Amino acid sequence: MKPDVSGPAVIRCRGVWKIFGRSGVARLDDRDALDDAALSAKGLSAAVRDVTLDVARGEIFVIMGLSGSGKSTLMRCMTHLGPASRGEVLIEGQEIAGLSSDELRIIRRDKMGMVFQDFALMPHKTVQRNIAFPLEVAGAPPAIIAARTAELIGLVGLEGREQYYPSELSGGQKQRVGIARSLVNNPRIWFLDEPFSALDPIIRYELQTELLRLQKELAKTVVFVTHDFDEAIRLANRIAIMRDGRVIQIDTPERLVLAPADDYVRRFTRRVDRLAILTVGALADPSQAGEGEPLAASALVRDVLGRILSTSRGTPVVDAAGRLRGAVTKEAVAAALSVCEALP
Amino acid sequence: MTAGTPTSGRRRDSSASSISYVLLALAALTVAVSIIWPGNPTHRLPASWQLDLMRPTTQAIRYVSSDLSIAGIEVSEITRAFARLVEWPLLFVQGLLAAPFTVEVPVIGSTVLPTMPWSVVVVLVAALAHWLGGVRLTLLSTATLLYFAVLGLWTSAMYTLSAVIVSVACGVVIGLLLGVAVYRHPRLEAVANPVYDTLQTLPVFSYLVPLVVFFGLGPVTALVATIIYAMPPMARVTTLALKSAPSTLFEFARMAGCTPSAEIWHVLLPSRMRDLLIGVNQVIMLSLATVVIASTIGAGGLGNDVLRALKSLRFGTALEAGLAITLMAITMDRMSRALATRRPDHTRVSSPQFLVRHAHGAAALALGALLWALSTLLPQLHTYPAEWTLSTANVIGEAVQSFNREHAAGITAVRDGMTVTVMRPVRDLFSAAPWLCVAMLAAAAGTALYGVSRGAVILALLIAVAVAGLWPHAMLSLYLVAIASVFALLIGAPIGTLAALSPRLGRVVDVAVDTLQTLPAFVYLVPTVVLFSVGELPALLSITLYAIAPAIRYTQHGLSGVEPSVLEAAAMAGATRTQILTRVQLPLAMPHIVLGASQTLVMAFSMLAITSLVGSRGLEILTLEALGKVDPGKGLVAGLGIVILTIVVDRLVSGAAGRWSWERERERG
Ligand SMILES: Nc1ncnc2c1ncn2[C@@H]1O[C@H](COP(=O)(O)OP(=O)(O)O)[C@@H](O)[C@H]1O
Ligand SMILES: [Mg+2]
Repeated sequence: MKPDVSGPAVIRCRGVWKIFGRSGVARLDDRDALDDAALSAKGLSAAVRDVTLDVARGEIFVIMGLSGSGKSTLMRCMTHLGPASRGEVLIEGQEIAGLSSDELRIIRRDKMGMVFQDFALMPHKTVQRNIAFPLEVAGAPPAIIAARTAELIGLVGLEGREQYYPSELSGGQKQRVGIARSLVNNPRIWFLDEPFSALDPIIRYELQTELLRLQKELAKTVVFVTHDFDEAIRLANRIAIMRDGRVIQIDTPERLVLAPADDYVRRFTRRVDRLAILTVGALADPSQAGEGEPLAASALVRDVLGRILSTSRGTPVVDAAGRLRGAVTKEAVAAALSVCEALP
Repeated sequence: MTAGTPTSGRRRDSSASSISYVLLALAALTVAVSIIWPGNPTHRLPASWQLDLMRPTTQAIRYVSSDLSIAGIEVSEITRAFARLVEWPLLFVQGLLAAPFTVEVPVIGSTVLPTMPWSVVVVLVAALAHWLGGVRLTLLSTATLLYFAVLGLWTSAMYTLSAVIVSVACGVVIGLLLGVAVYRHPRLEAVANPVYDTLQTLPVFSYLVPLVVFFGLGPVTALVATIIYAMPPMARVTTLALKSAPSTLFEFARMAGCTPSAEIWHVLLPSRMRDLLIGVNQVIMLSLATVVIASTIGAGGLGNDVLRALKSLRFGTALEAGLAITLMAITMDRMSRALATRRPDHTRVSSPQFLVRHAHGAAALALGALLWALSTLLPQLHTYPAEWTLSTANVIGEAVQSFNREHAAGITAVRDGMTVTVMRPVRDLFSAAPWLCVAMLAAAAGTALYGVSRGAVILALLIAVAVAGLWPHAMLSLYLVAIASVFALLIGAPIGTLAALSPRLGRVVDVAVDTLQTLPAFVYLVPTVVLFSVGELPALLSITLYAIAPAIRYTQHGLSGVEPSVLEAAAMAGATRTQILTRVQLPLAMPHIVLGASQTLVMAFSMLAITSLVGSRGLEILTLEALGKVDPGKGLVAGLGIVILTIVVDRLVSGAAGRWSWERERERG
């Protein structure tokens, strides 16, 4: 079960646009209107449109959308690798566009780690030297580099492979190196751009599990990009669904499933395993009292299905503070599960 | 050289084609007028219409080199200082490998740097070869070095080797810096590419002359020329490698907090090491090719040995030294390619112990030191004893001479036959053609292929050649290149066809063409001069041999690149093997073959420049004469004439190749 997080915002995006011209970054006048007609008249196109969101401290924030929907571009606005054309991005309260290039370099070096879909390992360096690289750049003392690198190698389970070169590793192992490297400088914000998309399903599942384990231990603020809804559901505290550069819904996996903002989101939710997502709290009917031992609101329906089905008057639900929130009934569970069948 | 893209059909508007017809009509008109009135200005440009560009250029260069001073410092002082700067590493490496070198050490006084014993060189090179590529490479490199020693060519070979080593070191460093600069400032690319092209198309003698003016006749001049000539591929490869590095690697470097220069030097460049090493391989091969040529201006080395022997008709010696260059080229190529294709392997670096990790190198160094020590007791280990050398020069020389005597009739017949039936008629045709007619024809073709503006550029360039008074020489160059290219295609295309039809032969041809392409151009002069002595015929044959590789390769790849399914379809339709070849494969491969023809022409032009050493008489001989008289203006102007010819001919032929394949595409839908 994922921890409940609602810390202060670590990353804030306010009305962020990213606009491309035919050849890379386009000059954009501040007075220019931002609608499709005006943009295409200038030969421009928007990859990110008016995105406003907050990423809270310690949460796994997943950006989900089909290929080309602007996920990577949005992430590049957050890291300032591809600065936003309009709007502002704040990292821990600092506006990132206002930083000098040295300040930016130091913020990236000390506060951010990033994992890439194609691993982006340096082929000329061993596993150990790849992982140590960010610390070397930061000018850490050799003893600390050695100790920290060894620790990270242990953390991602690559012991014995320290002296291998990337070309001698499997895809999964390469991404373990990528993960270790992105964490070696102990960043507070962790960006992952489709980190598992190039891997086989079984390895992908394994690494997702690993990621959840690491996150439990390290509690980073995570921004995770994926095009795989199941992956998003599995990892996310909150998911932002993108389409054509716009964020169309930001919600917990459960809320996405129960209350999709439109048909586009609903189509993604159709095939998910609802039992694995829904909590009893979400299905509790406040007008009922129920009978028997109460259930915790955060419990997954899947885990307590037997008890819910065994009573006819519903089972009481209490929240973390012990207050009664109502009761969950067989009918409510059946209704939540059959939404998918009702869809065309 | 990059081929331009011909305009698409849509852009080839009617005005361009009507202008090219007008040009064709004018060309015909000049022919008619010249028949009625020979020697008219469109036939032979009168001397009074010509502009002497050579003398002012020479004067300008001489002024800069001897009289000009910048901020109170004379340019000549600067160049001399620069020469000393470059000379020092060269003298040092030469001292180590070839001849003792005296250094002034502040406290001790002058000290003679000891030369490395030949046995130590052999051991160190063998160790390097083994580390790079195992036993076969060790055998090859050892055999090459022993060949130098046994045939008494050791010192010459070491002079050549030192020049190559220093030139490669400088060329790689300069190339990397330039390549990075161009990557960082993409606008430089518009300047850099044409400059690289020109540097590599300009005949080597052309820029040797101005360098002689600045640095005097000698090893430094040769070295600077070599560096200029061999560096461009490194610069290009560097820019390309940086551009083709995955964007995520660049983003990673940014996120890790690298400074922009750390990004390039610590992340992007090392990650493209393979590409860079391929660039290094090219620098090495170009350096060797140029060092060999430049050594003929008195720098000493194998090239000089070959040329002197050829000139004094000591054919045995010429062949021996020529083979030495060949072996050196093959060894260097294989070693540097082995370096480029090495895969990272953790088993090589698994031990944290420095000595264990570098056991191989340590052992080689220890053995080298031991041999060096021993060589003080056993002088045979230090200097290869003259009585151990064994030259076959006399035997070979005798054999060659008796062969030439016995087949004198045949050789004369070939020489006369070629001269009378092929060379003289073509030469007469080229020389008799009105200059303006040739220029108009080229412009018409250029207009038809690329449009009006490029056609105008071609016309202007050729008029410049005529106005500079280079036309007669230019035609003498062009006719040799034209015949040689046709010969190369006539011989190369059938070989390529056979190689494509039989995989077994294909592999043999692959190796042979690979080897042909690694040999320095200079080597190609040896066999033809041995057979036909000096003159235009050996020049022609050398160019043909040198230019044959692309003719073979492009034909072979064009034919074997045809989709198997197309061939199967033709076979199922009942076509015979010959029908498949002539009706299906050849037409489909034609664009490749034409592209091969344009490559053949470019190769032929680059070989042309040095055939002046053995008796060709076009623009290239002007560059060589300029070198003899230290007349930089003449050398540069004549060299630029060759550049113009090369560019115009290459653009026209590669444009035709492009047009051809484009029209085929359209026919097929
Ligand atoms: N540098 C660029 N120049 C022009 N267009 C770009 C550039 N980068 C991305 N785009 C466009 O922006 C859109 C979003 O791209 P991206 O963020 O990479 O999508 P995703 O990561 O969701 O697959 C795409 O249509 C893409 O073509
Ligand atoms: Mg993406």
